[in-house]
Amino acid sequence: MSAQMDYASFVARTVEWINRTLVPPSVTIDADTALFADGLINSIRILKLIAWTERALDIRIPDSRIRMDYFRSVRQIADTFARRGDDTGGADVAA
Amino acid sequence: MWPRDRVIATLRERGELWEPVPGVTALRGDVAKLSRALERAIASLCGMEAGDDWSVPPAIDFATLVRADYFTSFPQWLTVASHLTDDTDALRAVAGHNDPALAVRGALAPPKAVLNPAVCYHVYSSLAGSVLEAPRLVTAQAACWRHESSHGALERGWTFTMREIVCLGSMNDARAFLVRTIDRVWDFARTLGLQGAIEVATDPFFAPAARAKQLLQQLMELKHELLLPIAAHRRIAASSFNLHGPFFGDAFDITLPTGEPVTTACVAFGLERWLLAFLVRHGADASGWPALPELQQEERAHA
Repeated sequence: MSAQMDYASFVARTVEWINRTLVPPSVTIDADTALFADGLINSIRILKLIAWTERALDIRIPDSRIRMDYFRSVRQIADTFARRGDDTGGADVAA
Repeated sequence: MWPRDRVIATLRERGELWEPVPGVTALRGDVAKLSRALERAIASLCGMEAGDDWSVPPAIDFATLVRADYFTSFPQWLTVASHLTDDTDALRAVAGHNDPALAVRGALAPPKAVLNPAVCYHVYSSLAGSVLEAPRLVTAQAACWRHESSHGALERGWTFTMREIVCLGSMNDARAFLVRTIDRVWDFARTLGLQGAIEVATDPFFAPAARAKQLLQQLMELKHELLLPIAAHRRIAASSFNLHGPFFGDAFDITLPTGEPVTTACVAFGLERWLLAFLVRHGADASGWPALPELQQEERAHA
């Protein structure tokens, strides 16, 4: 990845990436799946998810923003950090 | 408010507080009586939640801490118990040395036990391999040891007194326990005239996995602390409220009747920190101390 993804691309590609690399083969998530329920994502995987989000959106997320309000699901991550096509979006994106 | 440094200086001047070893604090006089009274009040508070008050030993075995994955999380804190070697020549050398305190360093046997880093490990260890038909609530108090780079009397001791309540049950049991206990502790602090804040917290995990563990703990809001003021812009964590999920149930093979691992949670009280917060609020003179609350045990939620 090099170019910053828009909101829709980020949601689609993040869901695909998580299903391919983070969760067990028996599990399939969608944009609204609770990522941290039932130990689906553990402490090692959370770093990968943060790194993926930072690379995809070309942002840096400070540790203080790693909160359930922002990371509950892929859609929540996108709502918080991704740029929507129709606005400046990503109001919570840290410089 | 008496700032922490003024409280400690006053107690030192009176000879009521001293440290025979850095990080190891002794008390006598009125402040020692106050410490005992607070200890009883906190034991009584814990007794409302858990009638099963264990007497745990001052040390624990290495195997239990290995099973609890302690060495990857907090090895920096570990303090071990050793003794002198049984070798007669080595003992003679120590006995005849002009500086025995120095000579013992070369005559120590390998440690066989760890001084308690926390209380709750005794509970998981003793219940290992069991099936819990109902939620289990246990309380216990013990001296704990955590080696840190700096120490402060009553604030951050190498050794300190910890009382814990441990809950083992379903996730709902553990969450309900924490909600109840946060309310109880908050109310207790207010009856002592202490006003603080309960905030999400993380543990100082050892690198290299520290950041990952801390971020997950923060994100899942697994740890909360009661922060009490000890100076104009300083607070200490006097109690912590911890949700472990199935981690210890898995590690110690403690299960529900369904076969699933139990969820565990614990609430910890650092007694010296409660004492310090009380002294900061009410001063170092006994004449200014309010009576401690009488807690009614019949409110107990679980036997």
